[in-house]
Amino acid sequence: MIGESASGVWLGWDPLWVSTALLIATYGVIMTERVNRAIVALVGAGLMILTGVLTQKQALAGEDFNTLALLIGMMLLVAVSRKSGMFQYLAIWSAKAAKGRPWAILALLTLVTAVVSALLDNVTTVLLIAPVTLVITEQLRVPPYPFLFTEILASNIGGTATLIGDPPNIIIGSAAGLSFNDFVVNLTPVIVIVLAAQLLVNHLIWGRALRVDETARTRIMAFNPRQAITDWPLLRKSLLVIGLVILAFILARAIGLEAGSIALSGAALLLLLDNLGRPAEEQTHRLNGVFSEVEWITIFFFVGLFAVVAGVEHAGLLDWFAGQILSATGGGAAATALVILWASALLSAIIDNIPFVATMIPVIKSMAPTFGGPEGLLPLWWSLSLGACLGGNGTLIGASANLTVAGIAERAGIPFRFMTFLKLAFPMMLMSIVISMVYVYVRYLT
Amino acid sequence: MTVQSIMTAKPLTLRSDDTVARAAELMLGHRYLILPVVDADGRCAGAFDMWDLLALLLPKAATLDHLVPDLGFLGDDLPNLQAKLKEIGGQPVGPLARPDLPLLKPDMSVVEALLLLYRNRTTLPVVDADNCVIGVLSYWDALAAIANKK
Repeated sequence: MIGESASGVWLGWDPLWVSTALLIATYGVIMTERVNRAIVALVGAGLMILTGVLTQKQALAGEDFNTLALLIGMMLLVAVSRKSGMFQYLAIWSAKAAKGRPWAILALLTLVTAVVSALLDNVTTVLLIAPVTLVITEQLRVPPYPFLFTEILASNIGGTATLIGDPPNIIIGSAAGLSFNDFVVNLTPVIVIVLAAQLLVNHLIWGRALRVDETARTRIMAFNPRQAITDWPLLRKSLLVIGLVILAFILARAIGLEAGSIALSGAALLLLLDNLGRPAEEQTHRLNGVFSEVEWITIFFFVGLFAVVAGVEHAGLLDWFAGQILSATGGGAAATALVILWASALLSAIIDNIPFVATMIPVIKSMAPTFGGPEGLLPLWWSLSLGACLGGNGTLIGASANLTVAGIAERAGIPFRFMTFLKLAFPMMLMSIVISMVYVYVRYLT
Repeated sequence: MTVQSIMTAKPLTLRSDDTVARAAELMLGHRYLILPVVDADGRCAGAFDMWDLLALLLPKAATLDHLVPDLGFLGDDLPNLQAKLKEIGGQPVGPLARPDLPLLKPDMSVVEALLLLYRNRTTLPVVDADNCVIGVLSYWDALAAIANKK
């Protein structure tokens, strides 16, 4: 591939060096957080073209439109369906179903967060669950920190379980041709174990300290979850469409559809059902609201990033990098998978896991000949997903959901300090990676 | 015409160590929406208003933007709210007073004061050179002056 892209790099410089410098600069500036990450990625992408590393055609070929469609489709589905109050209903129902016992509430909220995160994006999940959690803990008169802490962990753990749960899985699935079912069959089992282990440790830490009096429990038992549903017709339409979308994800291979088409078609159907029969002006107004809820910063971050990664890929850097990994691990499948698992976990705890995963995908793909074709790469894909998604639990800045919860908590006057979080979360993240390591090794490498 | 000529002089104020219960009693008794808070030396330390009081009665998360769409699920909880009012009643208003409210000066022009009333949508304290509260200017005061009813 080397040289294929360069119709003429600036001043005759080596495209490998130019693209490597651009990749490092893009990563570096993203890490400083001085400039919005979408701007950095788009500038990086623009420079890949302007310096002649890539042509526009090659940059566009690097874009993963399936990932973009899946992300936008799911964001639209959530933007419409959240207005029905269904997610708040689940959180309030948990509190009541647990009969006001704080530990049981914490466990159920953790489960709800994990399951919802597996089906929706993590930030949206915690944005919906965390505020209700604050109301519940205030009614219970118990400290909210243990609840918010476990919800952060649960959202990142739950997100790892499915193709659509976390952006790294979306890009991995799209690039490696792995279906919704592949993720469920291969990752959900280990995620259930990780979640159970996490709950057990949290119980040991906080279980006994969470005590409430009878009055507090009575307040919780007076909750009326049905009141949380603000729009019943919308709830029915949302459940119908979300059900259809999940069914289509499960049957994707049989019906020959890509995840991006399913998500965007689902979004289109829900928008149609929600707007049918309304006056044109009202439709425009509602659509403006829904479209403004799509996280365009994330979408354009992906757009830029895909082109930056395409640049280094065309220039040959990633082939070279894959060769280095293989020579370090001696080309052994087990060693390579474990290196990928641990490196992605530790790196994802401190840097954004999306650019890391986007860069690693071509690296892993180029290892196919060493491991006997795409089938041989499966343990590596699962290692990358588990490491990158679970690694986000290691620090407060490891994943967007962590910062979202911390932001809500701080505004509600609950301190969420970097070091306090790190002391408990980092060892728990390491525990989840050890479990994943044993799982990947036993299931795929022996 | 200046603020001094149209303001309500010698207004009712809260001291920093007055309690929330006292503030609620004064607001309810006089139908005031906002009261200036003064420190031990009589200097303005901010203001405590009806919305500060309501926020104390509500679950904190519900007062942050629109993070919690509504609280209908809490059920009928007037006794809970009454208990909450008792619970918060003993807190001093000093730390709760909003220090960011703009303060009017007695020699300020009416139009300038009107703009601040419009922007802040509440009655504003008037302070002298030593930052002591000498009056308040409500939109009623301003409108009465403009409509020649004062």
